[in-house]
Amino acid sequence: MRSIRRQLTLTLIALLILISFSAALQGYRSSMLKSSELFDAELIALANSFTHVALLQTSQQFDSGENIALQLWKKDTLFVSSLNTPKRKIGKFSTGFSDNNFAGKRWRVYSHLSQKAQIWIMVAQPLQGRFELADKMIIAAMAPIILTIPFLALIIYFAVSHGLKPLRSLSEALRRRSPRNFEPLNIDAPATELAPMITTLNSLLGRLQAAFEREQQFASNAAHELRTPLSVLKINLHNLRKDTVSDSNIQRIDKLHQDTDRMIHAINQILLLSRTNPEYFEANSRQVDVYEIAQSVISDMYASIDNKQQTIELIGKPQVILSSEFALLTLFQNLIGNAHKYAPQEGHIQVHVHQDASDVVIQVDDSGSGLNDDEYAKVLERFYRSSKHIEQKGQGIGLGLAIVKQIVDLHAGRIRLHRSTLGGLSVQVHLPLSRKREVNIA
Amino acid sequence: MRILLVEDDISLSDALSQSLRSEGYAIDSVATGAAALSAIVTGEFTLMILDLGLPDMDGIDVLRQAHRNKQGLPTLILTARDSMTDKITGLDGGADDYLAKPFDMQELLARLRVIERRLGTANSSIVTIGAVTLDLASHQIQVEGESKELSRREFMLIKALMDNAGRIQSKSQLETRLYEWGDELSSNAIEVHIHNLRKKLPKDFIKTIRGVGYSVTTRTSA
Repeated sequence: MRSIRRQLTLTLIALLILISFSAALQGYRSSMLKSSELFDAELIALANSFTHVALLQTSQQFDSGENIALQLWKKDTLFVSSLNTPKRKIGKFSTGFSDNNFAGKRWRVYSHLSQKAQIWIMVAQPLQGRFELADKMIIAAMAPIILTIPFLALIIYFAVSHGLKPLRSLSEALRRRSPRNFEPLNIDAPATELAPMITTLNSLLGRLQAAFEREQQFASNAAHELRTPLSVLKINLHNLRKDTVSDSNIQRIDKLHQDTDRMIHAINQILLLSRTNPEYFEANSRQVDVYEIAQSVISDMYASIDNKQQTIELIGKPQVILSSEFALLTLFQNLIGNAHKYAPQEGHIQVHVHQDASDVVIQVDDSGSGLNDDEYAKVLERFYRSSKHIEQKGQGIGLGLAIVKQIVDLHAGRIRLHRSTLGGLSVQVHLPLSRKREVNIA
Repeated sequence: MRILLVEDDISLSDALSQSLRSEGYAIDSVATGAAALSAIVTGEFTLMILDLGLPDMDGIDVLRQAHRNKQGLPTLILTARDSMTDKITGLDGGADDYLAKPFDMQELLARLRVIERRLGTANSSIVTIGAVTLDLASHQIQVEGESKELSRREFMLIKALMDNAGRIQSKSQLETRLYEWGDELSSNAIEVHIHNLRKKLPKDFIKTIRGVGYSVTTRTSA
C-alpha cells in the first residue's frame, strides 16, 4: 500500500535538502572565489609595499611569522628571504600568481618584477587561510538554512496532511458505511479535485441502489404475477369439481389440484430463498422476539393443526435477538409446517424456545415417523426429499429445510437434526444472542 | 348477504364470483379503488373482499377512507403480499381477516363464515357451536339443552372464544377484553375463569394451546 501523504512528504523534504545543499555548494564555491580575490589583492599590495622595502633591506634573512613568506631575487640570486622559505625560488620569474609547496604547506605565490631596481619580489601566503575564511563565510551563510530544515520538514508534513484531509474524510465516510447504505455521499463544499469523484461515486451508488431495489422488486413482482393466476387456477378447479358428477373426472380434478398446490409450494419456497439473501436480511435486521413469532405462526396454522386433531405446545419464554421478522417467520413456518405435515392424525408437536449461555435455542419435535438414520445430514441439502416422505403424499419439494439452513447461516447459527423423544424428527436450532452488525452511519 | 368484491384481475374476479354465487352469496365486483368507494356509499353491501394491489390506489387506503367516512364494512383482505407487516397494517386498517394468494377456496369460505358469524352475533342474540348455545341477551349458556348461569366475566370470555371459533385467543387478548370493562385483573384471573367455564361446558370444548392461548374448536366432533 502506497501512502500519498508519506510519498509527498518525503519527496518534498528530499527536494528541500537537495536544494539547500546545492545552494551551500554554490555558496561555498563563490565564497572560495571571493576569499581568493581578497587574499590575492592583499598579496599584490604586499608585493608592492615590498618593492620599496626591498631596496632598504640589508640582512639576508628575517622572520616574517607564520603567514607570510618572502623572497627577493636579483637576476638568479636570492639575496633576501624570510626564514620559512627554501633556497630555491618559491614562485616563477614572470609576473602573476602560482601555487607552490614548501615548508610543509601549500602556498599562493605572487611574483612581481620591480622595474626600477630590477628585482623579482615573490610574496606568498598559505592557502589554508583562504579555506578557513571560505568555511567561515559559508557556515555563517548556510547555518540558518540547515538548521531550519527539520522545521521546514515538519511544516511540509503538516501542510501535506492538511491538504489531504478532504481525501481522508472521504475515505473515512466510505469506510464507515454499511454495505447496504446507498444514500448519496454528502460532503460539504468538496475540494475541486474531489468533486468529480464524489459525483461519480454518488451516481454509482444510485445505480447500485436501483439494481438492488429492482432485485427486491423482482421477487415481489414475480410473487404477485404468479400468485394471482395460480389463485384463478385453484378457484376454477374448485368450481369445476363442484359441477362434476363422474367419479373418474373428480379424481382427475383432484390430481390437478395436487399439482397446482405443488407448483404454489415451489414458487413460495423459491421466493423465500431469494428473500433470505444476506443483503436483504442485513437491511431488515432489528430486535425481534423469537417466542412471539413462534406464537404468531402457531396461531396462523392452528386451524389446520386442529383439523388434523393434533396437539401443539409452545414451551419457553420471550427471547429477543437481532434478526428479521420475515426470516424468523419463515423459519418457524417451515419447521412447524413440517412437523404438522409429518405428524399423524392426533399426533403431537412440541416447540421449545429457550436460552443457553450464548444462544437462543429453538427446538421443534413431532411424533411422526422421523427420518432414516443416514438422512439427517442429507435433508438440509436443496431439493432432497426423504424416501419416507415420498411414500407419504407430502407436498414438499425438498426446499423447506434448505431454507431453514440458509436462515440459520444468516444468523451464524447451528442446526442439528436427530430423533425426537416424541418418536419423529427433532430439529434443534441455535441462534447466537449477539451478532456483529455493521454500523449504519451515512 | 351481499358481497362487494374489489379485484382488478378479471379472471380471478370472474372465477371467485362464480364460486361464491354457487355458495349462495350475492356478488358485485369492481376493479378499482375509486369504484369500490362509490359502491360502498350505496350501503347495499354487508361484506367486502378486497385485493390490496389495485391499479389506482392501495387497498389499505380504500379501507381507511371507507372507515373515515363511517362506512366501514367487515372486510377480508386478499393479497399476494405475505409479510407480517402487511398483514398487521391490513388488520390495523380495519380489516377483519387476511388471506394470502394463492388461497384455497375452502379456506376462503371458512373465513367468510367466521366473519358472518361475528356479524350474526352482532345482530342476533344467539351463537351456537356444536352442542353449546350462548344466549347474548340473558348471558346464559345451554349445553345440550340444559341451561347454565355464567358470571359476567365468564360470559365475556366464552363470547370472545366463540366469536373467534377455530382461532387461538391469547391470554393477553382475552385480558384486553376484560379490561375494556374496567376490571382490575390478577395475573391468573384468566386461568381461573377458564377453569370455572370448563366445568360448565362439554369436555375439551375449550382447548388450551400451551404457550399460545385458548381456542374453541369449530370441528364437529364426529
